[in-house]
Amino acid sequence: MSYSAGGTMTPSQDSEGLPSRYKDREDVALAAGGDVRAFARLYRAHSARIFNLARRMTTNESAVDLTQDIFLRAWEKLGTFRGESAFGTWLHRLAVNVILARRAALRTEWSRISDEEGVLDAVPAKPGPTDLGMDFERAIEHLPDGAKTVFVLYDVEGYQHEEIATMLGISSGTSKAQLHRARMILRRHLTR
Amino acid sequence: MQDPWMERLSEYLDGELDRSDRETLEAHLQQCAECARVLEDLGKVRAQAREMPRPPAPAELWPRIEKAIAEGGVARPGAESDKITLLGPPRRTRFFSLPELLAACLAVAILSAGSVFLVLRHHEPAAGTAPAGTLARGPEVKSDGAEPKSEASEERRAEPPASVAAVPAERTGPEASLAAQTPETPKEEAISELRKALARERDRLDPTTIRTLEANLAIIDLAIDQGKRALAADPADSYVKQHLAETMRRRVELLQRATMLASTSSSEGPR
Repeated sequence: MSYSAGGTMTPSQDSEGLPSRYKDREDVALAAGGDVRAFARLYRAHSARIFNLARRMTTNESAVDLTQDIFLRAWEKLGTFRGESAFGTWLHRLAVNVILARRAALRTEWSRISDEEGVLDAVPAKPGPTDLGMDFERAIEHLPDGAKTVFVLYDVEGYQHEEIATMLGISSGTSKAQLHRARMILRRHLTR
Repeated sequence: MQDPWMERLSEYLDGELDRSDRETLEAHLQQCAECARVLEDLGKVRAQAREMPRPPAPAELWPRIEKAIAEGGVARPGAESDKITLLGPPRRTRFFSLPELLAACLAVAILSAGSVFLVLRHHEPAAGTAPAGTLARGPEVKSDGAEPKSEASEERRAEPPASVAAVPAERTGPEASLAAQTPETPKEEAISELRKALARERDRLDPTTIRTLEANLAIIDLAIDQGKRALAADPADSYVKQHLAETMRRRVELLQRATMLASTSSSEGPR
């Protein structure tokens, strides 16, 4: 993954560098006409990024189905892609939207449950398991939802706070605060 | 009192501070070893995030997508697709059916219920329960499932309709029967009985523990209700299925924890 000076990642660089952007456009045009093989090439070029986005914003178990939904939705919507941005950028934003919409449909307060389960674990008679060996990915999984979402979008995916604020319907300041919160939590993990 | 600059370190790291704040913070960093150390750590976190590997999607995923397209489960590109659901037969995955999951969960729950009945009869108030934890809140996500606003025009065009899960779909098969279940069904009654058992013994448990248990059960009930409604809107959605199953699993787990707490306290003898 590469970032521009401002931290914004250019998704088309994700696959085969600059020429892939033009190749993507060709494949998008073909796929928009119903060419599944062209769509398969687009899938091969972008599926890893989309799958890992879904995995990090939800769970490993959910990521497969979400990735499938995202690509099927992209297939349906190819006709609306006008090439004003890289296909990868368009697809990635579509993916974020699908993931956020799906999460909204199942809106729960898991973070509350998690924290309060910790209360139970803190009871001496029923100590919770300590997992000092968990890796960075698992540490991200355990972040509170808000902090995790912003951290993945900003530090992993390269979005800017203004973009994240728009996507999540929060202020830019909240996005910054959540990012800092996530990093401070992960810092504790790194310095264990 | 925490150093107020500590909260600005990420902004500094990302070049988000204006010149005045940046210069002030840089001067502060010369004096404050703790802030300098944290800043270094935050830089490591950011670097590690950017270097995380990106494993490929599972190999079986593309064949599923291809099959869904071939079977006409999705619209042709460019077609108006408001009535299209992405959730056709090819979406069948490794998950158990909801009745199976529910049956499995309830089997454990009923065992837990029996244990609780037995244990709580001899239970004395538990000691050492911790105070309620701080409640964290996630970002605001539109509750109607609508797309968040985006800046680029093509992304706005790319927005899916209100929500995948919001697309009404006809219920068929075992999922329909499960989705139609109400709290009055025998299985739900079993859970209800377990709750009643806890309620009867609540005076013998530590009040903080009881409050925590009840608060978590209420949240889980809400989550189950949400999951059922989402499943009613889209019975084939395995993602929803998984969440519902996970929610049920949490409920059972919580009840099991209650049992374990009670069991441990009971084994310590009367106080």
